[in-house]
Amino acid sequence: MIVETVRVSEKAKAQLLSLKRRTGIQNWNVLCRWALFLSLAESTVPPAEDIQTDSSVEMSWKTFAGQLDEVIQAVVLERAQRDGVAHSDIQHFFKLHLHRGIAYLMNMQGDMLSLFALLKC
Amino acid sequence: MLFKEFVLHNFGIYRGRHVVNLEPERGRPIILFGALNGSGKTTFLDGLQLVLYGKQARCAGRGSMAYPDFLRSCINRYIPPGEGAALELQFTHHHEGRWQTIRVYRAWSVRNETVRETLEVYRDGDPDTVLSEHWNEYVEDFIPSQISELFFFDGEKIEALAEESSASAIIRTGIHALLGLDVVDRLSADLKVIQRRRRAEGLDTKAQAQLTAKQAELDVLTQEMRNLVFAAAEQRDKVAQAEVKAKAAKEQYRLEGGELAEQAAVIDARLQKLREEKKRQDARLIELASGAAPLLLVQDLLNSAHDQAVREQETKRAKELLDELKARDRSVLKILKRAESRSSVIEKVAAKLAEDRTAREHHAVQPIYLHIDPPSLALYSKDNLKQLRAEIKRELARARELSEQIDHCERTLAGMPSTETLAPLAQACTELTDVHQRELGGLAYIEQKQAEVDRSLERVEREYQSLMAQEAQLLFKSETNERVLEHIAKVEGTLKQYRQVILAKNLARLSALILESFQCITRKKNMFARIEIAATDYRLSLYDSQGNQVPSYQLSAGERQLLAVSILWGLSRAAGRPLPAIIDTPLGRLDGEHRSKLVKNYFPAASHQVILLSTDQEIDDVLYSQLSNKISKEYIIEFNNRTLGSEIRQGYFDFCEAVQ
Repeated sequence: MIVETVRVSEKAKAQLLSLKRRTGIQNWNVLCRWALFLSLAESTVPPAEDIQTDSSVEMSWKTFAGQLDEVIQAVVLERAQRDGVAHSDIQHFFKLHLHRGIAYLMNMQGDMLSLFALLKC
Repeated sequence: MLFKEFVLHNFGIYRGRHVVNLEPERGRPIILFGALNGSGKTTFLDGLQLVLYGKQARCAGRGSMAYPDFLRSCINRYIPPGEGAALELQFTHHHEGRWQTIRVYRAWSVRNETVRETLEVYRDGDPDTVLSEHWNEYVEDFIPSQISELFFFDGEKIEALAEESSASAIIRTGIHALLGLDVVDRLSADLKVIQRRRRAEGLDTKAQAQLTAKQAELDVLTQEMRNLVFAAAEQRDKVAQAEVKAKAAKEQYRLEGGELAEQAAVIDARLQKLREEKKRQDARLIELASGAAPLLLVQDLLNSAHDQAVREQETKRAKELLDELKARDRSVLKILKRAESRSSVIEKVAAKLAEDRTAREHHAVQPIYLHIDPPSLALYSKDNLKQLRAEIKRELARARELSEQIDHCERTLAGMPSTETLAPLAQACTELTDVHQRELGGLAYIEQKQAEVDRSLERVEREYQSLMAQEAQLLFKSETNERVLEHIAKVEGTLKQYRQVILAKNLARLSALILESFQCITRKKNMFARIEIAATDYRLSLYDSQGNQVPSYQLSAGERQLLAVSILWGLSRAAGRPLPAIIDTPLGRLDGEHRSKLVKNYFPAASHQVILLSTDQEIDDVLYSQLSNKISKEYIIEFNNRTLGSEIRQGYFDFCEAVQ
């Protein structure tokens, strides 16, 4: 696991709620995965930020990752390696990407179809 | 019929039990009883009547008393009423070719103020319950009460008979009894009753009225039915018209775009279906999104991660190998050293081995940061992700298609003509359909009424038929009545004829018998040549040898009495029944010669058993001697001053004493 517990900020929580409504996806973990990957896919490095993950939203790594446990780990570690992130900063790295990803999702217009549209199929 | 024994027990003036043997000897029919006035003679006779006829008995001492009171009064005054009194009579009777002995036992007593009477009849010594229970009827077989009158008479009766009117009465009674005309009279009376009854049963006017009413009811219902049929036909026309109009309106509606409106319904239905499908599709997409789909975002990272994993695996392997080689190289060198190989060889080998190891080292020092085995990422290989991508593409396409179709439907619906333009037409349609429905309802109502009237008709028809049947029955009954009445009239005629003929025949015979009897006992034997009894009023007329009627006033009192006796005698002879004669002091007003004649000619001939009761003045010693050879038994009824009761003892008045 990258982190033991996945937590988000208040802002992120509000965003996630909105996304729930728009996409119809009711599970936090699914949305968080999409958010994470969306940010990881963006080659730019997220700006350093001190994010207070003080909202009520939290889930265990297991819940967050589900079946994609090792895959998520692999992708995160790979990117971290590319970006030259020290192993000790991995959790911070994760948190940054997750929150950036949530923000990206918010920017996307529309509903679920737009979500899939992101995949560029 | 012969009296054998008579028992009086506490009866009237007879206190205690008194048994009298009444059986005559052959050739001596007379049983003589001597009794002074007040000694119990009348009581004796009443007893004979009472024992036989009970309630119906004509007893001198009864007057108008009720029967129980009479019985009570007959109990000897010195006897406690609880002990009661009893009478017994034994007689023989010829029945169906043989003689039988009947004994009648009648007893009564007073208990709790009520008089209880018991009657027991014995036939040939054995109690006969049938006779006991129905004695009133059976006694008529032995001595018919009507006829008994003729054999049972006293001086008063004789005197009364001396009157012409009474004579005709007794003749009438006697004739009727003898000829069984009382039966004929009774039949006549019964016929009259039936006649009256049947006449009253005329055709019931009530039934007639009912029938007429039912007929009227039937007519009313039939008319109603006709009206309903007509109404139904009219209503059917209305229904047809309304249907046509409603259809036309619908057609109009359709033409004006109503069709489209119907289509809208179709499209709407389709829209609902599509929406549902879209819902399902969305759910599918969510399912996909919850799966490996987002991995497609980081495919290249995935790929490089996969490469890295492979490299890491190799590195690991290389490292392991290197360690193995290190260990092996060491052992090889050790072996060489132990084998005491030349140091130059050992050096060369060591160097070579070191070189090889160094070359391999490169592979072993690659960075390891993933720590993930390639198989873990195998699921998400290029090919699998390719498939996933294709699937997502398909599902997205489907979703888009559904959206488009939904849009199309919605647009089409939006493009439909507005309800406002169609409203009046729709209204007209609805109204006319309503009218049609109403008319249908009206028809249903009429048809229902028809069914009701039909049922009523059926019912009334049935009732009418049954009344008709009843009427027919009544008619039949009245016809029967008419026939019966007709027959009754005929029977009455026949009875009348019968009576006339039989009377005529027997009156002639009776007249002859009476004349014969009269001539037997009268002094003026040749005075009377003929007796005639009128068939109408039974008046007796005497005619002399010249054929002239001798009026009754020309007869002396005594002669009239003798005539009366003759009438009775004649009747008894005409009866042809051998019944015992009971004669009570009959000599009253007659003079000596007449008395003598009676005594000599009548008493012994009156019957086969003659019970003769007389005072000492009537059958006196002279007459007694004239009678004696015909006397079987003689008794005296005497009042005993000591016992204060009467007794019956054998013997007759002692004339020697009287003379003294």
